[in-house]
Amino acid sequence: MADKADDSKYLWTDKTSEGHTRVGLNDLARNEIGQVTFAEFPNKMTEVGEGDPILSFEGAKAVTEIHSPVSGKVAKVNSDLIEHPELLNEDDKDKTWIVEIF
Amino acid sequence: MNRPIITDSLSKFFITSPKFTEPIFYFSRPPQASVVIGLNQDVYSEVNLNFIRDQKIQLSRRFAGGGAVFVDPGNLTYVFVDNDDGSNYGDFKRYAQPVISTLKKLGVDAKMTGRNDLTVDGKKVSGMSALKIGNRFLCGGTLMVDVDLAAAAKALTPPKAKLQSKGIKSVHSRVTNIRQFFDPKYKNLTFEELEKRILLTVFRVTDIRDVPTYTMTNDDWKDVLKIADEAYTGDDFVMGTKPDDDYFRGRHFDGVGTVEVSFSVKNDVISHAKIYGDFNNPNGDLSAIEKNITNVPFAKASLTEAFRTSHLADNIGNVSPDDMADLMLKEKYDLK
Repeated sequence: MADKADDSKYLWTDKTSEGHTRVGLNDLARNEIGQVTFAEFPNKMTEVGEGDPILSFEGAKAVTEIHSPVSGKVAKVNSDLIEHPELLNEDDKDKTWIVEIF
Repeated sequence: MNRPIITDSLSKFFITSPKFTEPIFYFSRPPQASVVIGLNQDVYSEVNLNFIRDQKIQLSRRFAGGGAVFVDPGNLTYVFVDNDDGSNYGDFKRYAQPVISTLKKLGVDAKMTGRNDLTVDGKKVSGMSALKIGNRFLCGGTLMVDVDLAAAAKALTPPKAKLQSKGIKSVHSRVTNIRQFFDPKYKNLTFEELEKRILLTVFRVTDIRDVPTYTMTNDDWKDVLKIADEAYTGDDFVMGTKPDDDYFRGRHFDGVGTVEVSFSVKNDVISHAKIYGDFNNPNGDLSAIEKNITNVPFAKASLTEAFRTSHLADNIGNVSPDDMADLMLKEKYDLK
């Protein structure tokens, strides 16, 4: 089952103009996981607690879940990652964001 | 003047041409039947496309907001073009007043109802719309005098939402012509006479020769046609794309109009959304709202927040984020 975990070192966070927190995958994570080939979000993810899973994904070096560094309601989900998990491999915040929390 | 887009382009010409800085007033009467839909309406749910094709009724989309109307030679359209002085833009009553008082003198007790309708005995005889470009705007209306009501009813198929909120059964019973309400001595009033009476009221003169008139030059018409050609981005502008989403929901908001959302949900989030409606906000940016609600979880708190950050007042009108979220979430707003 989904365990809580502290993945803050693998994630970047940014504040949006509406005051939401955008969370995405950083270089450290990319180095450890390798090329990402599969990504999936938890079902009906409308709210997360700190440490709750926000994404499961498969990379060349690992299959893993990443957990939210903050708690709150979900404003947006980067659904593009489902069809295009390779977006997580780029060093571009517009592509590597996972969720937006408020 | 045969293409409906010409009358629209004419209004745009009077609003934007540097030749004109003063207020302008003019009439137009369509030479043949056509359906004109509002800028943001979904043609597929407003118009009986088979009927209008069979009857060779033209279809066009105005640059302004408002609902779908059926116009034919029995219809008189009047248009004011004016400069925004901070209080006049959006004041439909002000621009309806000359027509209301002219009709009163003819025996017609027309009342302003809703935001921009004129009714007699509870039936609609006129609808208005507005369009602002820069500091100038148009505000005008269609006046039904001898319109073919049966054809109008067949051509227009409004969604359930609007009718339920207004508690009426069909378009046919909602609209009527004013001629039946004229005092007996005006029963055969011609359009020319009606226009003359309205002009005298608008310009506050007693002699028609005192109405300042401008005659369009050939160059003016060239400019109008240029506007029409630029605006006519093909049948796409009129037809739009047929909604092909999982849901099509809408409701009527008092004082605003009908707002509809066509949307799809994939993996529990909004994967696509398009907003339609007959609200009068032609300068709103609906695509900004659509973008803002895409990728949002299909849930109350998330959608309400997305609408809260979508500048609804500027882009649609006085609708709350909470109501917009419910509009998408609740089955009772289904229009499909």
